[in-house]
Amino acid sequence: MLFEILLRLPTIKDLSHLRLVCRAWRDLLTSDPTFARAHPSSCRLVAAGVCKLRGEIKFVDVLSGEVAKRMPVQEARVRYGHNVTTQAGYVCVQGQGSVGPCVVAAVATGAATILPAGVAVKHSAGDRIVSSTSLLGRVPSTGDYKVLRTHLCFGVVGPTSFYYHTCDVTTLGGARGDGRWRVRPDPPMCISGDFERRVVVNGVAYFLSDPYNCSTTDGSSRAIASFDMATEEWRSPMLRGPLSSMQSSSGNEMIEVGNVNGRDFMLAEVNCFLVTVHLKYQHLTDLWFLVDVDKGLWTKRYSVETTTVESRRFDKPLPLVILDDGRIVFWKQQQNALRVYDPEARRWDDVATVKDYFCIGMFKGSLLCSGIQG
Amino acid sequence: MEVDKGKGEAEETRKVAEADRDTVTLKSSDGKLFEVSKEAAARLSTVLAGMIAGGSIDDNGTDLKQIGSEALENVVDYCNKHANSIPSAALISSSISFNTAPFKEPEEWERKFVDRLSHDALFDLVEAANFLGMERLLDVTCHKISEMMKGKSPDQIREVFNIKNDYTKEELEEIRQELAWAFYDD
Repeated sequence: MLFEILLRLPTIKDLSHLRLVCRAWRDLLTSDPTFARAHPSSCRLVAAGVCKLRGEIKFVDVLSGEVAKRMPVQEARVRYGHNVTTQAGYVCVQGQGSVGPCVVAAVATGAATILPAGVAVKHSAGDRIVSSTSLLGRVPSTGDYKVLRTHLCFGVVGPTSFYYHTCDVTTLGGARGDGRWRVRPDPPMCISGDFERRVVVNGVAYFLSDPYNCSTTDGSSRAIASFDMATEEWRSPMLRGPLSSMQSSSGNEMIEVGNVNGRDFMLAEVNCFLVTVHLKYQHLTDLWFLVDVDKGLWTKRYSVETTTVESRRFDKPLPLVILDDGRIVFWKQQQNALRVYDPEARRWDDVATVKDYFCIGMFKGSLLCSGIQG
Repeated sequence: MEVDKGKGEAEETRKVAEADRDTVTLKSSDGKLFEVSKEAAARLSTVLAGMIAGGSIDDNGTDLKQIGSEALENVVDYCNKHANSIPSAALISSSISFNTAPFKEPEEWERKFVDRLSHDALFDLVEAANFLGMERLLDVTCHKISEMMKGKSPDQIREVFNIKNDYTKEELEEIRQELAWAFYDD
């Protein structure tokens, strides 16, 4: 009977305060998967973002803009980390700079795990790590949570200096988690550490290359590096990005561009698909969906029109989720806004203001109970 | 046989019952008899619908040993009122799509119906609704209780639900701090 009554309390806030009543209620509210699944909040679409101002993670309902929950990021150096990934009720935040600390927090209970410090990779003397990024993933077959950390390193050999990448992996908690970083093979190309140029989809981490730091990047490359969290190996050969077509500036002639590693490309996860976002023209953004992972088959599902006032360079509309009615929710970084686009009506609507976020991603899982895959 | 009525048009209901036999008689744990429209009972209660379909309805009063007379009177009263009310558009149209709560908001008359009940009567009615598989009545009563819980302190809630606080002071303080962080206002 209690179960039935508590299900009718719609907000996470109302429910969370009832934890104070007694242990039995707390257990129902924070660790009962049946309850969490049955509660209306389980079908809400919530985005998680790291807020710049207070050093906290906010969970925002993408359709109402309501802040459903906040979580402190207590580790001081992680506070302003612009590096967040979420998987099935867990949020992973990596501190900024050289091998900053990395924290994984269970959203339902707020319990945070600080991942082991140090780097497993042996670097040459004199080389230094410039920055590290981390990605939280869940292996679909085993349910294990793993964090892949990549390090951008600066090396000097004789008169020449160069950048290169290394990486390591750790498994969280459970029987297989031993609290250690394991060295894995170096990435097959110079990968990007930017938030919008890497993403985890179904237990595979995908990276575009780094258009800024790596002079060695082949300008025409269509390669997307992918790391399989299950096997802990980089997949070979590399995934090839979609071929896009563009009008030449001189006329109507179509020219194909396959360089997904230019600055006009981003990666996103939308409804469990890997999506390449191509900021094509001033007012047009293409969304390419990887529809067959094994064959590397891409389909252009949407060409999204933006008003000409919104310059693409400064706007970066990042798709978050496609709603049941076909509309797409975007995070418009520069406008500090969540907006929905109706592909049929070609119309934009405002949803919410989301000010001062470093990054935003769809939150998968339950705000009530950890470990439920959204 | 003297039949105790729920509130409502007692005389009229009886006439209809005698003429068409379209009512069922229910018997509470303390032996009181109530009559309710067969159609409403079958529509609102999955358990009664099953009994009616299965022929296990007793003309002399179907025993509902788990339900006291006060709760059963409320159940019958609710069924009769529901049969007489015209469903509003909100009730007919199901939830439109994503993000709408799976529970429908109570109608105005349903609100009034539960508002007049005492705490004990309300909780008894929840149990009766649950036992009889009355989804809608369960919605309405649980909604009322959940509204009663809003804005109440843990102490007040423990009192309403008759719960003993089994936390230590330190544990309570720890949870409070967690909550303060999670839900401070902008």
